[in-house]
Amino acid sequence: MSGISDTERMITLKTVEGTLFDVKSSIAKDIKTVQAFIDDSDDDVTSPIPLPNVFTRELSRILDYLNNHHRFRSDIEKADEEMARYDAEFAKSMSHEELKALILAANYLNVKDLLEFLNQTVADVIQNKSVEFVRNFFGIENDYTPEEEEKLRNENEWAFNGVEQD
Amino acid sequence: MSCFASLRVDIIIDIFVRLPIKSVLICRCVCKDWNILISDPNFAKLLFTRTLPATMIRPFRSRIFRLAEYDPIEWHERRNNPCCCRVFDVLNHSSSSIKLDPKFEIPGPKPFKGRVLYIEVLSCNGLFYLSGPEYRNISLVCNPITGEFIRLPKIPQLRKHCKQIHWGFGFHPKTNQYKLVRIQMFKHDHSMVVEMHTVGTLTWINIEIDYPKNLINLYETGTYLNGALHWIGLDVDGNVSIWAFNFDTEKFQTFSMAPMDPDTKVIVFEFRDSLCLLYSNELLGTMWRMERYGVGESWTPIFQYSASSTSRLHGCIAYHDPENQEFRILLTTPWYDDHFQIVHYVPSLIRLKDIIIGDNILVQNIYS
Repeated sequence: MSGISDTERMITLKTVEGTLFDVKSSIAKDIKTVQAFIDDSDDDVTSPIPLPNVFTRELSRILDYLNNHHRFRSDIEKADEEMARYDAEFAKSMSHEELKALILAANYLNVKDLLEFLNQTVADVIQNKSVEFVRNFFGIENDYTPEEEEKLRNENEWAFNGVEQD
Repeated sequence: MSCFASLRVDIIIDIFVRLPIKSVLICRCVCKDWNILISDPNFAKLLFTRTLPATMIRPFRSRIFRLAEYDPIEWHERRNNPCCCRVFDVLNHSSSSIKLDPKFEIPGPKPFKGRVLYIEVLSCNGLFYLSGPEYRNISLVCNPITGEFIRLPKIPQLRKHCKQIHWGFGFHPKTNQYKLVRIQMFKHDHSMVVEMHTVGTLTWINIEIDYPKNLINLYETGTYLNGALHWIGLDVDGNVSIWAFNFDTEKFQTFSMAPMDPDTKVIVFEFRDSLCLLYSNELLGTMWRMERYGVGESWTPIFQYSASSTSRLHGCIAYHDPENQEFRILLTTPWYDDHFQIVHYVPSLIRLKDIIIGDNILVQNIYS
C-alpha cells in the first residue's frame, strides 16, 4: 500500500440498518450514486451519506468486490488471472436470493462493472433452463392463457429441446 | 421478491443479450412483457451485435440444418488446444462438448426419401441464401432461426461457353441491402460476366465491369467481409491471390496471400471480423489471420496443428478461440466432407421484413 492511499480522504456510508462503512474516495468514485452525492455537495462531505435502499449485507459485499478489484488493478502482472479467480469465487458464494438482492443494490448504487458481472452471473444461471425455472427465479407471474402459451411454445419449439428443468 | 420482477428494462435487456439464442426464445414464454421486449426489432438488432457465430450442420441426406452448440466450460479446459476431429465425431451425440438440436428444414419439394439433396448454402449477416438444382426451383433467402423465407426472382440463364460459375452472398453496408452475385467465366479469353441481384428487388442486373484480364480461375464461393466478397483466384502467371469484389465501388481488387508451400490446400473464411486462411497438407494445418484488412503484409499465423506421426490430418479441424470463446469447425477440404454440409452463421432473431428493403415482398414461414 503506498503512502498516498494511506492518507486518502475517507467517505462514510450509512446503510438502511444504520451501519457505517468508511470508504476511500477512490473506491467511492466507482459508486456513481455516491459520487453524484459528493459532487452535488458544496462543502466537503463530513457526515455519513445515507443509502436508504441498501442493506448492510449487500454494501459489505459490494465494497469487498470493489476493494479487491482495485487491488488487482494495482498489480498489472497478475491482474487478469487473480481477478478471474476472485470473480468465479464471488459468483459461487452467492445464493440466488443474495444474487438478486445484490443486483438491486448495485443497480441503485450504479456500480457499472459489478452490475455487468452480476448480469452475466444471472445469464449463466438461467441459460438452458425451463420457462418455469426462469419465472421462479425472477418471481414473475405467468400472465399467458394456456392457449397463448401453447402457441408461443410451438412457434419456438426447437428451443425447448434439451432444456434442464432445474 | 416482487421488486426483482420489476427490474429496470435495461438490466433485463443486458441479461438477455448475454444468453444463447435458445434461452432468449425460452424467455419469450415467461410473460407478456418479456415477449414484447424480445419481439422488438431494436432488441433483435442489439442481440445480433452480441451473438457469436455458430455452426449449422446438415447431413446431405437430410433436409434439416442443425445448430451446433458447444459447451464453453469443456472447451475452456482445453484452452489453446485446437482439436482435430472428423465431422462424424462432432455429430456424435454422446460427446458432451457439442449439443445439436435447433433445426431448420429446407422448404420446397420433398426429395425422395434418403436421397442426397445438394443445396448450395451461402451465409451472410444472419441470413442464408439457398439454391438447389434447377429442376427443384429452390432459390430463396431465409432466416433459419425464425423460419422465415422469401423466394427470389428467376435466375437468368447461363450464357454459352461458360466454363465456371461462382456465387457470392453479401451485404452493402451503405445501403443496408443484401446482394447476390453470380460470376460466369468463359473458356477462350477468360472474360467474365458479373450479375447481381439486390434482395428485395425483382430483377438481376449486369454489372459493367472492367474485368481483370489476367485472372483465369476463381475457387469456391465468395466469403463476405467488410462490404466485399472474397475469392481465391489464380492468374495467368500462376500466382494465387485473394480477389475482392467491393459492393461500393463494384470493382475487383487483389490482396496478396500469406506465404505458402507448394501442394497446400487453401480455404478462405471470415473469423472475428478478419479475413483468414487455412493452409493444410496431409500432416499440417496452419491458420492465418489478416490483421489489417487489405494489407498483404499483415498476415499472422494464429495456430498450427500437426497430425501425429502415424496419422494424417483430419478433414476437419475444430478451433476454439480462447479470447472470446468463439468456436469454429474448419474443413481442410472446402465446404464439406462426403456426408455433411457445414455453414458458419450468426443466429439472428431479426425479422425479414425489418431487414429486407423492397415492395411486395412475400415472407413465408416454414413453421406455418
